[in-house]
Amino acid sequence: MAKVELKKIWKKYGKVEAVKGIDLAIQDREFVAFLGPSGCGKTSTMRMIAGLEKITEGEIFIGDRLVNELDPGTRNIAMAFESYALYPPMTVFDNIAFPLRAMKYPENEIKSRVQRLAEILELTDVMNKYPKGLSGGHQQRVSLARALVRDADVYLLDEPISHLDTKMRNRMRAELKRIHGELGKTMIYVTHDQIEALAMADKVVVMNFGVIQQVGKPQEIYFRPQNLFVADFVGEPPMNFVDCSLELKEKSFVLHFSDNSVEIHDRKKVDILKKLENIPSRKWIFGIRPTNLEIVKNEINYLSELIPGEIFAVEPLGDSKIIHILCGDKVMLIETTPDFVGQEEEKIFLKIDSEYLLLFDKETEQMVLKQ
Amino acid sequence: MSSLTIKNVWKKYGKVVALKGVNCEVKDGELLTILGPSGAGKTSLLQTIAGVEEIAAGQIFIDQQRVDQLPPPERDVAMVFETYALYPNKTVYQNMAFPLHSPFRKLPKNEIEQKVKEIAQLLQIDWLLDRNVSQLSGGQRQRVALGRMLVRNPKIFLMDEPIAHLDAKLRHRLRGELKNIQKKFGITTLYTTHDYREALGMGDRVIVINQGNILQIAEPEKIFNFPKNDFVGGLVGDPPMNFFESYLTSSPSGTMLRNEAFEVQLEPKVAETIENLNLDRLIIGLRPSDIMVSIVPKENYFPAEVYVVEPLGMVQILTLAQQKIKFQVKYTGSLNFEMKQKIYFGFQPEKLHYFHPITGLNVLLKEG
Repeated sequence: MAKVELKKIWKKYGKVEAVKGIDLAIQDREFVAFLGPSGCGKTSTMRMIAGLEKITEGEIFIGDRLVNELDPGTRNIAMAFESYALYPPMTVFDNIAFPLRAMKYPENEIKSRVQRLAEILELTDVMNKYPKGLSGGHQQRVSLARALVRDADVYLLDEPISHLDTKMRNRMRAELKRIHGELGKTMIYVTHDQIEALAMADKVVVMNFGVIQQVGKPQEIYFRPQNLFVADFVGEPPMNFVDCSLELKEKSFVLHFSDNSVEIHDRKKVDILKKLENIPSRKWIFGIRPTNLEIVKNEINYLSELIPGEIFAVEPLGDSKIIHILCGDKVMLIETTPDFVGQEEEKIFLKIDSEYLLLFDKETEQMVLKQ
Repeated sequence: MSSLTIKNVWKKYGKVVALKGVNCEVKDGELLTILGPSGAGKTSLLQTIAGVEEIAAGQIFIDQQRVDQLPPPERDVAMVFETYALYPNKTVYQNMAFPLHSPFRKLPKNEIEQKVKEIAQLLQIDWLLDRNVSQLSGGQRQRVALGRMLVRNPKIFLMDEPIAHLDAKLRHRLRGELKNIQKKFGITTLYTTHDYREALGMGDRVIVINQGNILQIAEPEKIFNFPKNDFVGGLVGDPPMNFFESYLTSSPSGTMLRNEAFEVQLEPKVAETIENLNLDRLIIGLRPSDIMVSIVPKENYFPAEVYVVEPLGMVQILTLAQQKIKFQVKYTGSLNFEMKQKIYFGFQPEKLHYFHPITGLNVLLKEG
């Protein structure tokens, strides 16, 4: 059993507070991704779990053991980092085999384990080469193999595939997730790439400024971001945000922004809004993802539910099209199907899919309408 | 407003051949994107046009005038590099006016001012002229950089991965804006990138280049739907195109192609073309967005196991496995899948691409 528990963890470097009292429970066998921009505290947190950084304040448990004062070597963890730290005088095979030899595994088992991983991570062609002659991408995969080859309670992986080219990264993402599925071990993964986090993790921990912004399953993070930061950080093309005011009616509500207004008929959302106070006096931001806006042409009915705009740019991307629409002084992004036809400066309307509409309080930056 | 013609251009750095007889025509007002991996020759191509690098052979024409022997300033092209390289401690006005202070121009001060203001207005950055560049947002910086090129009124814009180092979100916005401005001013533009989204999204046409050779020049949709060879097919699209090494067999009902994951009966016309090549195998290309899945068996569907599911919001990337083959599906439906689940997949045969096993060429595609 290897639960990992963080209790009120702080990390200070002199006056700089890198991690500010975070609490987190990672379940046995869970794949957890720490996601955030550089400087958000994700790597500091991982390094404290690993024992590479002293914990300024708080407690970390691995299994039932308090590990605050334990050396990295006694925590029974395996690590792979963005930098490779391979042993230059050893071949790739020997590098990967190293932790097993140190633990005196029988040589035939070492061989079969190393070879199995080498196949999955596409390293079989370089097993007899030395690290110096390898590309960064190869070296990084060797480093990853060296971590995964071990039997550990917890695997800590910090940006382990960041130096691979896009195609290889795609493949390795899938392989790592599969390895986790087969091994059934606790894995903690640090990344700044939201696609990696959503794609691989059972649970995503979004961090910024040393604080946890949200913990949730990938689909929760994507569809129900709890604040503006998460909403903006996750998803590509990025979510559209518009400053607005809100007018609540009996069966609908209206979003007013620059010279536009749009009426939303959505019973569930209206019911929630009715429980809130000071709606007219608060400042609001509405958020809608590019996939949840529809382009409507020549619509004369339901005009109050449509946002007028004009096509600013059309990007054909093969299996989708991204349309940039100018609404007043704001450019909105819409992702649509490749068969969409439209010209620059053409007048159109936008329709919001209200199911996916998010409302944020501009002052607190928190999402309301949590369901 | 100018056109550009490149005829059989070769570029060598010592023994390294960077361009191997490149030919292309860029139309007046066109935005042409140049897509390729690093080392493909993208930057070399721009540099030879700019005149920063000499060519080993060939000719370059701007508006039918031969320019490859001219020094860079006389070619009247403007080149920008990564992330636009603005002067961070100068104001927007100073940055934009800078090229006009060049000794080649000797413009009077009031003319410079007029020119800068005119362009700034068109780009809607006139209210920022006194600001320091370091205070601007990414979008504003791009407009200043474009403004600095536009004040010179060059015949051709050359842009070398100008937004490659910015974060992904900002890139999305800048792509649309750049495309819009380029259209508005109608300046013939060549734009290099290694990001297929930039190339397809922005280009009126796309040049795909690799190892100093142009592989295909075509409109974005053509590049995606009718790739000239397997390299082009694999370069555009995310997740990338799946490739299946497939063997030709004949059955009573006609010619079939078989691999470990599926088999497909070829249409008579396709079969005839392929039979004429005298091959026993072909590489089939199939895009992840062209594969359909079902949890129950269906006619012309094939079984596979779910290897991994990657939920990415509105889409899920499924990696499917059949024997030793793995391939990816871009799934936009609402079903949920689990690792090791048995499912079925299918496709419309017209979505298959057929590549020659040795040359990689798309065997159904004619020249052009």
